[in-house]
Amino acid sequence: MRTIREWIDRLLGTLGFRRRDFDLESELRAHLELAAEDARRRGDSDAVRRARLHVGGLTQAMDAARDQRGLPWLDDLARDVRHGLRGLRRSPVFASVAILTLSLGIGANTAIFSIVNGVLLRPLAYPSPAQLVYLDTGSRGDGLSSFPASVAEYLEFQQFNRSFAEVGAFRTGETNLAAAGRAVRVRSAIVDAHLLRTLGVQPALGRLFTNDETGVLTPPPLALLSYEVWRSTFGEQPIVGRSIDVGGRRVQVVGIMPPGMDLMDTHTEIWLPLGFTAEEPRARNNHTLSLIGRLREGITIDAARSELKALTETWAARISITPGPDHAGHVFLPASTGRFAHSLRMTPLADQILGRASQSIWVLQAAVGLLLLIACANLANLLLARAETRQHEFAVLTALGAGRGRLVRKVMTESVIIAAGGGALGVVFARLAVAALVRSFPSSLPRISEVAVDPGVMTTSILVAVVCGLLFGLAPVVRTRTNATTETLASSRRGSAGTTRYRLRRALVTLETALAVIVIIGAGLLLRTVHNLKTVDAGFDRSRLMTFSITLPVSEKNLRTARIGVPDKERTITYQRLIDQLRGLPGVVAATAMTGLPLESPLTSYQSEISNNTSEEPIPAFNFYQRVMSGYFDTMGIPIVQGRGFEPADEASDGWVTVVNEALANKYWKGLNPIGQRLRPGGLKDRWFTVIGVAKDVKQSGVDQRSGTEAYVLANQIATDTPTTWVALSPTTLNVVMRTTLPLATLAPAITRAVRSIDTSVPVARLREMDEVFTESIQRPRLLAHLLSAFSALALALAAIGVYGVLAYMVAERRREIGVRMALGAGRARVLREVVAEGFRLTAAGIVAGSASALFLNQLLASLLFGVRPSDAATFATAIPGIALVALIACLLPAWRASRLDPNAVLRAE
Amino acid sequence: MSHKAAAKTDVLQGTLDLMVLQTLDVLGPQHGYAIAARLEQVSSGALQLNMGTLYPALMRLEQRGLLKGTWGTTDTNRKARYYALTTVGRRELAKEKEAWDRMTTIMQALLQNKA
Repeated sequence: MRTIREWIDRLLGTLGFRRRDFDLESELRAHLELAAEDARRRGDSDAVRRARLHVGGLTQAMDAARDQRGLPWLDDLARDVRHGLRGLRRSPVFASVAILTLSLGIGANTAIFSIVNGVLLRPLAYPSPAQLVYLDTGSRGDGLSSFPASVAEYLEFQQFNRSFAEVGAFRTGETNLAAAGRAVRVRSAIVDAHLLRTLGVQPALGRLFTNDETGVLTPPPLALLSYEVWRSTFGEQPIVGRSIDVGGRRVQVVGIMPPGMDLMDTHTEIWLPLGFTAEEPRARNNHTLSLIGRLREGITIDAARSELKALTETWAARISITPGPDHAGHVFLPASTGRFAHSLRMTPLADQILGRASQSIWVLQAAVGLLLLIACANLANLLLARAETRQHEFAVLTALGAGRGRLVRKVMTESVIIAAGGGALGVVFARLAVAALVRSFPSSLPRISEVAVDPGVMTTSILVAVVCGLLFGLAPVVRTRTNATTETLASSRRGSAGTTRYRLRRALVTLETALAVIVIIGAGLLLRTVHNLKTVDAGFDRSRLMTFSITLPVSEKNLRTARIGVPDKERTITYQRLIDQLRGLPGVVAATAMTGLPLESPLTSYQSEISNNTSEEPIPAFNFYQRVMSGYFDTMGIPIVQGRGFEPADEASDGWVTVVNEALANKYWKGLNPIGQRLRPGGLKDRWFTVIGVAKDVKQSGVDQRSGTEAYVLANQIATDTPTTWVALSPTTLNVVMRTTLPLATLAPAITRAVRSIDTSVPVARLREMDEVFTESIQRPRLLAHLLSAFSALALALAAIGVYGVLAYMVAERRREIGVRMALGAGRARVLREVVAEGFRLTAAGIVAGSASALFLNQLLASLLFGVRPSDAATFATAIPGIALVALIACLLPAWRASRLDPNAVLRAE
Repeated sequence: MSHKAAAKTDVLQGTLDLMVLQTLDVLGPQHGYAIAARLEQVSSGALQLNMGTLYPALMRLEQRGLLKGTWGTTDTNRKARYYALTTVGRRELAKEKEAWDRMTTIMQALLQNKA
């Protein structure tokens, strides 16, 4: 038995054979000389020759010893690789087409798999992320799929549940940060100490918030900075313990978060302590908190859900409330209570963050999977063709005594070299592609910043490549084995057409075409989707519209007030001054501001009273409560379809007025005249809004969403120094919108100056064209459509190469037949037609099979489409002739070659 | 390589190792030629080892750590590689000898038992 030691020694022998060869030779020479010496001593006259006869030849002994010393198969392998490389160098076209084909397939696959891995498969960057659960609330009949919890609900759940080790709460928002004399807008997470413990985060520097610093009436002015902001804005200075300017207040930095720390993919830059007002624990109708819980060790989410179900049964009793209409939607009640049903809902945190993105990513993965299949089919085709041209070579080798195994190895080595080359080049492509993707679509997918080609992904793709190579390298050899050597040799170089082989290659081309058709039709559907999204009427005129966002500081004095929010009429007056300034700028035709920017508006839903309500909704709550500044409808280009818009006189008037959208009017006052109707949102006790007009619907939360119900109110009119509810609050953040005649770059400096002249500590955030807002809002479908189009082009090109290859081969194979037929009088046109017809038969089969599969498979795309059905006839009707045209072009070259054959030359060559 | 040659080597392999080890045990460190000469002498010329058989065997034994080879000089002042048994080699020899003895006993019993 060979010991490990022997193996190691042999391996070393293989690696360092030159030096040892010399040693061995001296040793053998010494042996020979000793033998000769002996012979001489015995008086032999021909001592040297006799000695050689006696002990055997030097060369044979060297060979035998070398086999013992090294690993012969490894030596052979090295030789195979050298031969393989030499062979490929001799057919550069075959080698480069094969490697390029494979590398494109592998490159696309690696790039997309990197995204799958980075976004979907890699766990969230918290310890034991599988234990984290996102909690929101849902009610029967409020028309909203998801709603935050109220403070009361949060505190009760924290107390009642036994399934979670910890439950924490947060809100997200934006605030201004002043650093080095410059103000910047940063994304904030307002969190309690429970949340930080739930996430299991440890600060990189300093400390986290403690229990008595959060969830209290007046949280101390503290902040945690993200590592990234600490580095970019503060240059990694020792800042812990020092004070910085946040939202107009001095705030002490207590710690720095570790790199990459984030909350719900919001790219959180600053973490602030969460406080509750005195009323909040009792104000059940105030839903503002997002919750995350960490399950206890060993408790599954299903166990937590069943505990919650039981809790919901007794919840009202536990808090001594008799459920009635007032509590609907604000007290957890079981489904059996019908329209009052209200419950907490649990979603694994990772699922909540990924949302609908995971589907897009899997579609991409499926598309590149098909692409890889096409690339492999093409490679198989190329290898088959190559094996055929090498039949003769193999037959000669076999006749000369090369073993079957040796031939198999020769071909397989070549395939593996191609695979390795394709894999390596593919990884290069993938790196470039991922870098380009992350750069051009920075926010289209959650966690995209975490995407990189990692070693695991790289290894996987190279493995895929090698398996491809082995699999398809083997196929031709298996075919070779079934062919009798003598037959091949006898038939010389122009063997009769191998019909089985040809059939296999035809099948591969048909398969390729079918797969390409599936990818192309999928891409077509998404391109139509993007086109539909681009042309959808968002309800306002977005040409030459510019926007930016502005947050005015909250004064220190007001924050200390125990009342809800900020009694600050002052802020609205400041906004008005800013808008007036902007209106005076040359190039600005009109300017206004509002709380929710169309296409990006968050839901702002308040339980409302509605006069003469005709809807079935048990707890009326419209979707968007928009506070706007004067000139809103004119500036935005939103048509008023009934009644009138806001007028300057309304601002000072005592009777509050509102303009509602058509959706709201149709929902709550069906068949009634909406003008003069009244509504009262969000617990306003004494004031009603009277409807003065109806505006056309605006797609507030995205072009692919339906327009929600919406009411506009004048921020100027409702601002008071003592607001009693959130509804009457003067907004801290507004989106300014301007209709202009000059380009953005020209206007930008003047806009910045105008804002500075109002308040130097306020940054201009996200200054951009409305078109850009629009483009960003459809970024994900665009990304999907762009990538799928690129993959389609690739798939089509590969399939075309396949069609071309198989026809070119067929023509070469049938040269003699074609020559004879032409000699007998067949015209060139007829030959051309026949070859094209043959190519067409191949692709037609592929197109039919592909279309049928697409009809079935594209159902999976349905939820990603907009305004187009998966079986869209127009898409099929455009794609199929396109594919057929490309196939025709691929057929033409070999067909033309066939028709140009000179029958004389062909027959003479016989 | 012909089928016959391969079979012959296989038969030799097991015994050749034992012969080499035994020779070195009896004579002490020796170079390859001396080992071959000794085996030829002991077998009265029946066993003529050519280099192609002997050296792979020596190499194999060295790879297994049973022998250790060092360059030295012969009494006729020639450079030659001397092989010596290692401790492992000596142990292996004892084991192989025992196995051989057992085998021959069995074979003898088998071959002589005609009934």
